[in-house]
Amino acid sequence: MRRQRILALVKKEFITVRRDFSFALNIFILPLIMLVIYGYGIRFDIQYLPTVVWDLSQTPQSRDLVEKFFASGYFRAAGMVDGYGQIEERFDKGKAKLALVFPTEFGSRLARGEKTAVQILVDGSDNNTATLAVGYASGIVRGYQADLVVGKLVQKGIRLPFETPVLTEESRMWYNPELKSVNFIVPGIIVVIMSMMGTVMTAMAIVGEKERGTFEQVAASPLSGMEFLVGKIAPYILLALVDMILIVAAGYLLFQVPIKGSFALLFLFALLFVSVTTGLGLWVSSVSDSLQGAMTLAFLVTLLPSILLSGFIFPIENFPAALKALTYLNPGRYFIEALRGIYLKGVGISVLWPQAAFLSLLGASLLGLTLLRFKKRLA
Amino acid sequence: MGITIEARNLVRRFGVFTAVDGVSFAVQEGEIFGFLGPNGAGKSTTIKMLCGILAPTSGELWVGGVDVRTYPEEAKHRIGYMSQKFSLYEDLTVWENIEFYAGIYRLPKESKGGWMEKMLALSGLEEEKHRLAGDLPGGYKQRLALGCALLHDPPIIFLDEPTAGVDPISRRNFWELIAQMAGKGKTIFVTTHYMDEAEHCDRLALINNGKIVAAGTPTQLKERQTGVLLEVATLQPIRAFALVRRELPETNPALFGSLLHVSLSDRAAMEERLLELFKNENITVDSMSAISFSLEDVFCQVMGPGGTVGV
Ligand SMILES: Nc1ncnc2c1ncn2[C@@H]1O[C@H](COP(=O)(O)OP(=O)(O)OP(=O)(O)O)[C@@H](O)[C@H]1O
Ligand SMILES: [Mg+2]
Repeated sequence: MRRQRILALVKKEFITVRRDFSFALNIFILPLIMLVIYGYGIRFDIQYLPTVVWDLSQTPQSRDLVEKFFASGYFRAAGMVDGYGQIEERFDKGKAKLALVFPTEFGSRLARGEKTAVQILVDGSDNNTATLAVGYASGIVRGYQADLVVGKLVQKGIRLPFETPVLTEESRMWYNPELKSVNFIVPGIIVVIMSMMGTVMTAMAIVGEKERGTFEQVAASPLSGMEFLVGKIAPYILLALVDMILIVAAGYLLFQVPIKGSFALLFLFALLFVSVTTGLGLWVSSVSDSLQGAMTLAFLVTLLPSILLSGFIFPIENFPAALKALTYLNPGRYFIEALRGIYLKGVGISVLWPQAAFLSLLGASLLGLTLLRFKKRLA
Repeated sequence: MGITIEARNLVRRFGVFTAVDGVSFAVQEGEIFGFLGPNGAGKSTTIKMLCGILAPTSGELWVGGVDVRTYPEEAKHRIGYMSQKFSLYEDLTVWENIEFYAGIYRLPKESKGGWMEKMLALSGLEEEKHRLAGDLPGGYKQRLALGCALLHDPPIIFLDEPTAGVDPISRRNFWELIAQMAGKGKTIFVTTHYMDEAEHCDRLALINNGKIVAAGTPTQLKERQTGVLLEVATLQPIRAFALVRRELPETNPALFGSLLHVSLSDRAAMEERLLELFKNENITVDSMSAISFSLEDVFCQVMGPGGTVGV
């Protein structure tokens, strides 16, 4: 390996990147666009969910419960309705996500101390929101029930032998107390962007040389296959790291997402991860002979696993066993775990060493395999 | 002066198709060796194997005294390669391309700048130094490719159709350059379609369908032709050509502009037959005379149905 040759390649690659507008777009603009779209667009937490009420009972009890809903901050009034048809219409138009239906006898039965129910309807088309909404709603109902019990006791003149034992439900999210989804999204975007940079860019840079024919001239020079690959991937490793810093900085400046843990550890994991993704890029370049094919394959092996199978959007715990097993092969999974650990919990290598070990293993085997396989020949 | 490029029974297959089929030749040091053949003959495939960028299916090859298959990197130090299709970076400027290859060939720091300037001057691209290679006209691209191929001062130079699509003046300058380099003792292996260029070569090999069908100096090739070459002037050359090709294919008819060339093994018997044919078809012959073979005639002869000249 000769330094002079690798430097010549790296310099050339940077000139190419600088001249190609689409490269610049991919490297600097895309991560920011993704961050803004996901940051503002995806909400795992719920706030002021539009809620309609169909109150057949028209009693103080029902009004009481409705008030509790709107006071919680999770739901906001989106009007009264009259019938299921109207609820469906509001759901369809997106005017409401939740509906509370009080039966005619709601108030009177409660007053008599009999069993009754409030029906909660949720627009299930947004699965994440729906699950959270149901959770919060039942929490509010349980709280209301507790209030009723205490009220009843007081009413009957039963004095409790201790201070008001009002049991309120309070679910607390650890590590992300405000339940800000941006805090989850920033690590996710780092994973997606870095795997795209590493894999897609590397694959395209190498297949591009073959497709344009420039590889032929390089192949006729004494440059070794190893030198060629190192010189080709080094720039993209660097750019992927720059991207990571960009996202970290933008996450902090735009969404106030701080890093609890150590920067050095973050960098170490980034380096490990990008060595896996560039290895994947090399593999893609070795099996595809057109830019089009390389691009498709590269997107397939990066975008899909890094978004869907990494735990970025769907929690891995909920996966069926087979899919769960598959995620062990997904480098994105380890990186996202590490990132969330460092970002949100501030944990160190003593906790994250298994992730580091798995990433190293994946990276070493992928890079090793492709470097050995690569022949500096046309066919 | 020894042999510096040698191929023995070189074969390259692509699937079931044999592009190069048992080619053998030897090139002397300091020679301009021409590889002549029609499209798809296997010229580029051969040159790529010699440059170590395409693995031969079988056969042996040495370049600069090195076995290319076992020590490709060693061989690559000794060669300069100019491919048929422009293969420098179109998104880099002229100077950046030169700089890139100066780095790849690890030119020593002290002499690097000087060599780069020298190659820029040799390519005649001083004015275009900061233009993108992709924006250069065809002839300039070729000169840049030659400059980059010569950057590390290799003793052996492979040129794959270096003047295809270049204007006649640039072509002449190019060949002057090639002659100069040969004069300095460099070995040049060049493929071409142009007969006038073939005349500049010290020795030639004619290749067709992956096989060498004739080889020798241009003079030898011409002298080896047997029989007589007749040049027929007529007002209906195309009809005449079609007719002869149908009726007397063994004469290897070929059109040169509006003149028809036919080669006759037995002039006395054949000439009469030919005239009779023309007469029957109402083709008026203005003149008919014996001429000496040109390389182009040799080429048509060898590539035609008639076949092969002693190799
Ligand atoms: N990679 C390949 N795969 C399949 N066939 C190939 C490949 N490369 C070349 N060939 C075939 O081999 C034959 C010889 O090709 P080659 O490029 O060597 O011809 P050539 O003599 O250089 O022709 P030209 O004058 O057109 O450049 C052609 O028929 C070509 O189609
Ligand atoms: Mg060719």
